[in-house]
Amino acid sequence: MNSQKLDRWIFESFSVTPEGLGFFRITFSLFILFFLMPDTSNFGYLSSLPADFYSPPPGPMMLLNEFPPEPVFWLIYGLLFISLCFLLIGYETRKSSIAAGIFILLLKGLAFSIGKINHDLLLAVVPLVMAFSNWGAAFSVDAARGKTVTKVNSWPLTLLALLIGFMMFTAGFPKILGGWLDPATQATEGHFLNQFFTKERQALLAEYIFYIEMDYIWELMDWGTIVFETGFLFAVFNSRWFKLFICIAVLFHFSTLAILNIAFLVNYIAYAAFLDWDKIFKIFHEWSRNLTGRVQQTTIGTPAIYGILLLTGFSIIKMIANSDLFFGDSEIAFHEFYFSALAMVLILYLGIGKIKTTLEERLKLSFT
Amino acid sequence: MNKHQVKNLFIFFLIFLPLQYAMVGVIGDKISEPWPAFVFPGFKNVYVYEDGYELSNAVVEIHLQNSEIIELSPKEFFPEIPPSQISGFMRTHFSGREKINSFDIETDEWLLNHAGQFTSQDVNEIHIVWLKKYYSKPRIMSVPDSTFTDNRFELLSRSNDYE
Repeated sequence: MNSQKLDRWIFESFSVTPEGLGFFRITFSLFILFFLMPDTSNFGYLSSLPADFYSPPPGPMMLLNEFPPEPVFWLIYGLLFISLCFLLIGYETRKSSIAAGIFILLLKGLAFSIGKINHDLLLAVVPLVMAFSNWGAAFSVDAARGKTVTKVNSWPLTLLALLIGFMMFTAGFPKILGGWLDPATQATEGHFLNQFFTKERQALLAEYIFYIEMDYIWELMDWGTIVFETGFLFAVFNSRWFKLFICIAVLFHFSTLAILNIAFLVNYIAYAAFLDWDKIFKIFHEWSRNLTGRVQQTTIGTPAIYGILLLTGFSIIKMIANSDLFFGDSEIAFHEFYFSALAMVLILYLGIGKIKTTLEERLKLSFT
Repeated sequence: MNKHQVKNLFIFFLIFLPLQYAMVGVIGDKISEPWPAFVFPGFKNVYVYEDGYELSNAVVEIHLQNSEIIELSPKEFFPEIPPSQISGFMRTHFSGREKINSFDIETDEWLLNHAGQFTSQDVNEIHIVWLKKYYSKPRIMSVPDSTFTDNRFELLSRSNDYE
């Protein structure tokens, strides 16, 4: 890649606006505050565990010899909560983004020191990377105080795309080494059975899939998974391809949730960074203006209505999730299913729209 | 950050990412997967055994003084540990003799007290049993075709204390 191509890839792959980034910042902060905050229910339990059960993964958590006392967990949690609230209102946005990322890493690091890592690093990566986009340039206390410039950067999105693409590749590559491509092995079926029997994940479509004999389809899934996961890395270098892979990822994660009962909610909020937030802002602004029948002040009115609506919607979804009305004994939470399904419907709607437009354009061309 | 610094940052990541992945592989093989690292789970296993699948799981056996045995799944024995972490937790702490032998008195006492929550009887021994279950194709049934004990670890035994 020559220098000009590198420049174009880094600085021109994605386009951003202060308003669009502001909308994403509000969405991201509220989404984390409502659905992805570390679980507080086991802080006391973790701190009560004997030192023998403290098995930190190689890395910074090895600096400790045992789990810290419970108040330390709460202190970090409190600091994370404050950072996210500051991020939401855009107060000292860059610092609060970085702080949120670091506190997420700390809390997750402690939880993983039980001897098992969950691969949800993107939760910390998004605020750490987006801190450099100046996503507090609009709809923020910083902007109101004149403490920020209006210039926004799109390169953090390219960096986020690179990290996602690379991480996806690391999911696909070991599968090739493990024998997933061997036609004699149906690895996806093996994983399905492991989830079904050993981990008792039998909700949604799992029970129906169990009764279907479909070696060819399982093998197709093995190959498809590898092509998709390793291909992600190459798609990073073309924003259109990358967005297409994000769409496939949404369908892939939904099928993983439906069949294996594994949710990837963290990934969704990282993928959401690549939505056309400026368009979302403009549509919402227009809608809210029509709704109230007067011109909103975009600096306060539109984001305030957006934030309140999001807050209300998330509260309702959270209440339903907490009520255990759906998925009683299953590990799946209602909000995990809801957002996975919502993302899938959105992708299908956008995809069909895109195909329709392309076909119409081609038809027009052929008649003229 | 100016344009030049941003470019340098990207060049750093383009070099760093493959290197850290190689390191994750080496360290992961020798000790365990490092954290934080820019990796997603590989799910490398295929679970295939001959003409079917081989799955393994652990069972916690609480042996009571009246010779009764209570069998619990790891999820039941450690309900506070998130379901997504329970298998890894069991593998890390209870799948090797060396690790189990390294537990100190505090850990033994903790396990004994913990096991006491599941019974009003005195606990004599706690065992971790690793089972291997085989499911043969083409028609996989909801019960395994065969099950055998792969490993049995005695975590602690009160009867040994009296000897």
